[in-house]
Amino acid sequence: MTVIQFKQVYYYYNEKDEPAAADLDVEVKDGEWTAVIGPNGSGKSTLARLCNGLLLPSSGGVYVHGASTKDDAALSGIRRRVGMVFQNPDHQFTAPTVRDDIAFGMENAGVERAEMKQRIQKVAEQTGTSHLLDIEPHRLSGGQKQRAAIAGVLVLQPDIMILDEATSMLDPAGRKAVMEMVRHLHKEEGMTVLSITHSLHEAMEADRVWYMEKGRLLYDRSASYILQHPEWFEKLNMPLPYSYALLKQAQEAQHLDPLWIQAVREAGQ
Amino acid sequence: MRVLVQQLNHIYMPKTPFETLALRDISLEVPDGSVTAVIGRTGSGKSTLVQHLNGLLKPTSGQAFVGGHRIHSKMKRKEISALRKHVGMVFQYPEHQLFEQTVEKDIMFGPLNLGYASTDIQPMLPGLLEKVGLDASFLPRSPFELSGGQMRRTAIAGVLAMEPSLLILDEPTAGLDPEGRQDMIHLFQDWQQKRGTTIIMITHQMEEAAALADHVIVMENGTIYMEGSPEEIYKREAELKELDLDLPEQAKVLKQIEAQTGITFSSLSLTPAEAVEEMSRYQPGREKDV
Repeated sequence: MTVIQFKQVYYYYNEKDEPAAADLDVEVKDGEWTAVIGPNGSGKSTLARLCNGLLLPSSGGVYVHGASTKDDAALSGIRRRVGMVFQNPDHQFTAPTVRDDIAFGMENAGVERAEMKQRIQKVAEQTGTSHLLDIEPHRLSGGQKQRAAIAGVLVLQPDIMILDEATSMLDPAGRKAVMEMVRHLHKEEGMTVLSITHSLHEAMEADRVWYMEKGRLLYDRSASYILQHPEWFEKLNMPLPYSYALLKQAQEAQHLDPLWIQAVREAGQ
Repeated sequence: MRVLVQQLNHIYMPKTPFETLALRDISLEVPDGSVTAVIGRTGSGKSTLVQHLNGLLKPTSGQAFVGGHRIHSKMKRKEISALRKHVGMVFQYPEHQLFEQTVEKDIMFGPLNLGYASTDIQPMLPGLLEKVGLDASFLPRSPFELSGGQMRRTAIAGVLAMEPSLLILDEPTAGLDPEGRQDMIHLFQDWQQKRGTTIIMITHQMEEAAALADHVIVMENGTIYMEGSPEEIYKREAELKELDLDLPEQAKVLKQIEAQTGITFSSLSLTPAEAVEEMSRYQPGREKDV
């Protein structure tokens, strides 16, 4: 089933400029994890914001479970179904405690108190934030903040979660914790994920990789395809991982004991 | 510019319930003309430490020297301004600090503030912009019309315009795409090689520390947990893991090959060509024939 569909989407921030999104004709399938990569300014965040109606297409249409983001009546439902987590963990909190913050969206949506309690408990478990619920958000580490922000998104039971460089401001420990959680949500709970990232490692965890440049989606390939075709790293403007570069060098070397090539191959795995 | 830190302590919000000992008894030396990377997890004290070196924070006790400038708990405003003429600081996400109407005005703001004459700076601007990968056509443009990477370059040009003898970089590549990261690292490498500027760089990326630095300081819990050359640091993989720090991919792969075959590489920062060259002189799984 298709969760989000882009049909001939163009988006201009300014009519005089080149489009920030151009000719987007693509869909996100239920249960898939898509990573969006590409240089700074290539339109990745624009694409994310088009998904939940934060931006509306200048032409063409974006459909969430069939409903257009341009349809005013559908928009609040779409916002609830498409959860967004942003880059800066400090910009996402409004309430005095993590618990209140997670509850905020549900209060707006008119969820019953008893159910609110249950849902908070569940998402806190899913995101490993149970012990943080009564803490003031500003006291949390970056990784904890992002996990709490994700809990606030999950609690609205979205159909898809969009992470817009959600790990880029975190230290390695924070990154690891957030990625582990996303992996779990995707694998164990079937969450559909769209993650924007500059990290090769993060992108390779996804099922699909979309590469954007100048507003266009140039390539759509599975992560496993890219890993099997290392010449693609260059196409995707990604540095060739060291293990690949070393293997290539070893294969090209003359008179090198084949055992070395085997050792290099094993070390890369 | 040589940096010397002696038994420096810093307490945030002393004598309140929020009192935090952020730096404990830090002593270190950064030789003139060297590049030092400071790594460690969030909250380990990295930023607190470097903020002392341009007088943004004063030590609670202990002292530091930057060249001939002494940084101490009772530092006067005048002493701080004298220090800042020599210390350039590039904060995290420096593009958030742009505010002027044009790139030219923004770059000149810092130097003018420090008392340089605009006639001295203006002729430097085209060359400076080229250094950071832009050109003179950017001067009349609004900084807010630029892309994220261009904005960051503009902000960095403003710091470099002061030709600091000590350049402090707080995660200069955060949020950039892989190519932007590479360019940024090359920019500082180049600047450093041509001028011998002393650089202290905070980073979360071991790869970057390895690419730029000749000395690495690992901080944890307000103290210096270990320090040494990148090579020496990589040898302590288990301890790094405990601090949630990963070896660069390169070092990981080479270490793995060492474990499998018994070879000992001359370094864990070898390029693929160098590594293969060393392999060709050695039989895997056997004693080294010399």
